[in-house]
Amino acid sequence: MIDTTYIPKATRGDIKRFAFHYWSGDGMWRGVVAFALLGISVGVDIFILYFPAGWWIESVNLTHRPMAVCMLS
Amino acid sequence: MAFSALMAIQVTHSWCWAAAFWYWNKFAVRVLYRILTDAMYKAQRFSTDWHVNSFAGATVRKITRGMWSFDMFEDTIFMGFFPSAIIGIGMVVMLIIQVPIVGWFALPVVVTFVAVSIFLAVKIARPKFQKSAEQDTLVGATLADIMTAISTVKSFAGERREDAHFGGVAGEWRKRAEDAWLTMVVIDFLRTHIRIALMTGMLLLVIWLWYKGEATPGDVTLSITAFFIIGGYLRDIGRQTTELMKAASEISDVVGFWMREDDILDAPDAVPLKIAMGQKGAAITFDQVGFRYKQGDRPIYQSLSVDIKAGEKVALVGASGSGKSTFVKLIQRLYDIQSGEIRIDGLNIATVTQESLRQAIALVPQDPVLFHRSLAENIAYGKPDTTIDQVRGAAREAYAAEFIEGLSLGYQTLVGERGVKLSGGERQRVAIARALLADCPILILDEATSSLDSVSEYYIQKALERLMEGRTTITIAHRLATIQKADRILVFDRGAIVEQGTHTELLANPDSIYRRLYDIQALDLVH
Ligand SMILES: Nc1ncnc2c1ncn2[C@@H]1O[C@H](COP(=O)(O)OP(=O)(O)O)[C@@H](O)[C@H]1O
Repeated sequence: MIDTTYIPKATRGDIKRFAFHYWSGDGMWRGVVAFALLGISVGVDIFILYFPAGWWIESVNLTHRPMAVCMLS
Repeated sequence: MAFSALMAIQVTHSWCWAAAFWYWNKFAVRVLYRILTDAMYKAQRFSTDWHVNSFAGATVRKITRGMWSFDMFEDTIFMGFFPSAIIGIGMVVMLIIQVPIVGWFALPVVVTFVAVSIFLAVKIARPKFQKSAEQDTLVGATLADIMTAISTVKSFAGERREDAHFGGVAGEWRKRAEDAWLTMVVIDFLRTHIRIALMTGMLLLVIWLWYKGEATPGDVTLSITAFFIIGGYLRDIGRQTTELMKAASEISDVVGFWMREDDILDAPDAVPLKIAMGQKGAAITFDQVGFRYKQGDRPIYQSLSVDIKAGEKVALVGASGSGKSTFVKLIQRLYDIQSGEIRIDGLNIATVTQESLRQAIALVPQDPVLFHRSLAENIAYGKPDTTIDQVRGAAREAYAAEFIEGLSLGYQTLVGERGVKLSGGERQRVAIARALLADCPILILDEATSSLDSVSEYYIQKALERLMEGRTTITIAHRLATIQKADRILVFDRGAIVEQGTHTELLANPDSIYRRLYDIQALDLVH
């Protein structure tokens, strides 16, 4: 006999299914746009700001290096 | 040049950032809204049995806590994990390209750290947070239980006892929450040390390389900057894993709601209940019904059969616990029976839609519960698209108009939670008006066992007579007047109908159970 008060215990898989159920659907594009934009802005941080920084710092005169590092951080 | 490029990048960055959060918030609020409404949809449709066995307060707490935890869950993933992961990976890739030795050293360091963090959070933090969440539910439930029964508490001067009771429940929560939170501190502590050790290792490596002349000062500066950035994000990732586990353990209840199937379901081919035309009320048949409550240890009915004709007025009597209330609950299909059939106008109620079935039945309970809404809304509840004139008409017929119109706000008066601002008799008349408006072929009355003042009593009797006209009526009877007027009395004894007939017929038999119950006043009759 089924226990009617029973609420199934959610496993990690169930929580994942639940999350994806609510993330998908007709409002989903907003989430996707948000993710993309956040990705871009974080990407800008590293790949444009820090990535060339190494070379840049290399090219800067030794005495100016501390300043360049400060600017970067 | 480099400076203006940097500024331009900064501006672009902040634009993207702002836009990302703009869309994210719209998205997140919408998700929460859906979770909230879906959980409510589900919870409302869970069977009566489920509700009888669950604390209302616990349900409320599970739904609201689940919703906010989900918010935290997705925020952590979106605003925490996702950027941290990109930056972590990006920095490592950068190091690998720029200063390969350091980069290849950093990669396993980062991976190890993340793995350890996840392990600690899943294996150690999560079970503790789950325990604390369970107790938190109980705290809410206990609180709600006490508040609901507050009049009983007060009348028995039970405040101290309830303080102690609640103190015990809250104390257990305190223990578990403390355990979970302190565990989080310890985990954080451990993680910090692991992180410091790893970072120091990397730092020493670079300095050593530089010392040996294998790294330029640029490499060193870059590595150090990168370390600090990676270190910061690693710390964040560590915290976020714990947060995520905490949130995950708190949403599991709502996920459970979402997964759970209702226990009383419409048959796939369910049809709307059809009440035969050209008759008063509807016929009800119990055909060898066998039933037990899931929580009960023994069956309530073994094989109960009875025919109630359309328009008949039936009174159910019997000692307390003999199965009268169960009888009316089964007609409403609040529970599914294990064997036999219940038919209304020839249709098995298990094959019709629950909505149409319940719409055919009006219920006037012993102690009607009113919504915290206006009197007009409360009366119109059984038939939502009514005009205020119809509401007034129904109130007049139920002898409720007089007292309602005496209130300064009349039909717009808000009746308090559970209708406490009205007297018992007034609430009953509101419930009668509601049933009159609903205009159902079947009427179920659960009479109060206590007597009201004789004026209220008189009006309620009049109102009920008016309500019973032209309907099949089943009354769990406690009024002598009601059983005297009943077309038929069904006498219940331990889950069986042992006798039936009119009051006079049953009393005429000196050996009848009815006579005995009547003589020893076991029927709780109000004269
Ligand atoms: N939800 C329930 N779960 C388990 N047992 C129940 C439930 N409701 C009622 N019972 C039991 O069923 C029996 C019949 O109850 P009921 O129909 O309410 O009797 P009556 O209305 O005649 O007083 C009682 O023994 C009662 O304890």
